[in-house]
Amino acid sequence: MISCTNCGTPLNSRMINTNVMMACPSCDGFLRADVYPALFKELSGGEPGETILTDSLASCFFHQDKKAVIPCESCGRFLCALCDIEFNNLHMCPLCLEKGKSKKKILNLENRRTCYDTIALYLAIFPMLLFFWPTILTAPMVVFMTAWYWKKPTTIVPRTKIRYILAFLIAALQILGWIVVFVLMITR
Amino acid sequence: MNHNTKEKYKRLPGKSGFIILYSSKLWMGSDHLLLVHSVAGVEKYNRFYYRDIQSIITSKTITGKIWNVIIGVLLGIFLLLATTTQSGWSGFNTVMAAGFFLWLTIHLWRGPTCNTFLQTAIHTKKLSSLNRTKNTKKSMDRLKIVIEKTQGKLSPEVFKENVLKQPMDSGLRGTTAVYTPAKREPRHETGKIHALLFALLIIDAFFIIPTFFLTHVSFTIFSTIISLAVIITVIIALVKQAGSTIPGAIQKMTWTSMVFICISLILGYGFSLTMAFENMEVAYNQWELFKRVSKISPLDNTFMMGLHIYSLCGSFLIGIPGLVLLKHYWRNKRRASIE
Repeated sequence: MISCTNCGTPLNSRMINTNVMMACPSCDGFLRADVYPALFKELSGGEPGETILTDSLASCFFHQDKKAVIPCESCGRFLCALCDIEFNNLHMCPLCLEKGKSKKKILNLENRRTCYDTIALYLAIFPMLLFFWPTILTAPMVVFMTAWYWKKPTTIVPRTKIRYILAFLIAALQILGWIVVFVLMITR
Repeated sequence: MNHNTKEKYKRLPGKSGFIILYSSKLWMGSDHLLLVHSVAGVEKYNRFYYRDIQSIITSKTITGKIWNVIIGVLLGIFLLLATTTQSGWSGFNTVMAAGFFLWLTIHLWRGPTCNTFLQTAIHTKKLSSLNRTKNTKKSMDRLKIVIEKTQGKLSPEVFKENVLKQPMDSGLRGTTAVYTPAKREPRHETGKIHALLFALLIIDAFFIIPTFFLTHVSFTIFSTIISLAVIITVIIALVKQAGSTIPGAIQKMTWTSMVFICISLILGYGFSLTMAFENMEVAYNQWELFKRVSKISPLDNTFMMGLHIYSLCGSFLIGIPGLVLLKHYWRNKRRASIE
């Protein structure tokens, strides 16, 4: 059942999939509810794996007494219905899936990334806005970060290298500024 | 094994958060929706596969209207001060008024606010990037096409039929019985701390009134102590109201007090800094500076007058409705317990 997010009143069929905001009959709050067939789909419980009754049948690598139904598309191990994990239209064993996640080989399993381009840009801008003097340290750091992480992947969504370029340019200008300051101090 | 083929994501309209500290965006992939939370350069991802999405519900909120009123009031105060003050203060007030005008224009242009929730069989997630009705409509229309392409269409008739067939306690296997973001039982909260907060705001307002006619250090000391108590109380109230039975209107009122207090603090801090610059001989002696500030009458200083009017209006406008809402809440609770 779908209910109003404000008052919890169940929504009637006239209020769903209208594509416009409608007033809730109970609280008068405006809402739009897009409901899809998955709401009424039963969750599958998973296959338990069929027990081997004759010696001629291939067994699962992880469960010797279970019948193999499919090989892992990554390592080739035979898998029973319980061990077979379908992911990204591929059949894999739990070990390969775990390895793929820990070694970041499967993009769709990645749930965290550090974007060094963003950090470099922040490091280039904020010390300059707060107090200028920390840039004597942060500017070389930004140049180093830009060079070191240039080829490392940033975010998983499309992004250009503009942050690195901007960070590098700002840091280069800061370094240039400090050089001018030092030269002026020495010559005086 | 390498399944790291680059997924082609397309950005959906809508963004939430503060540029530097936090941001939340939605991206459409080939078979899933990607929610990207970014905190200071570190991104966290949540994926919702189109085949698993049961519903997306958006509801209009009054947060935008509250902000418009707050910004509008601040704009009005600074406009008034800009027209009544002379010399350097006039320029400062004009710049502040222009800033608030720009903020208000952007706010109005972005349109009304809303809350959007995405539901799957096992969880309900708030899509914080879809917080404006204008962008939410565009995003929901685009998502509808791809989800219906994967799952097919659900007509209201089929919905009605299936809802009638569903047992109310169907739980997680199949459908979620009641559409609520939180699975936990709401914690019971009496609202005493909220009452204290609203009462303190009103008391604070009563302490401001005499300062228009009398200037004495004792008034400033009392006012400072009450302000500190208000800050502590608002923090406790915000912590206590999270996941509690306190009605949404009171919760919003508490958040409004928080915003009001933050603005007061910023303005007060700005005023103290100005005073320190104007009285450099006592700038390093906090007590002397405090005494000097206490001796200034709002009638002699337009910025202080504006600050006092703002505090007075804010305290009464939040404190009184807050107490009225609490009274309703307590009355309803009493009635429910009798029944």
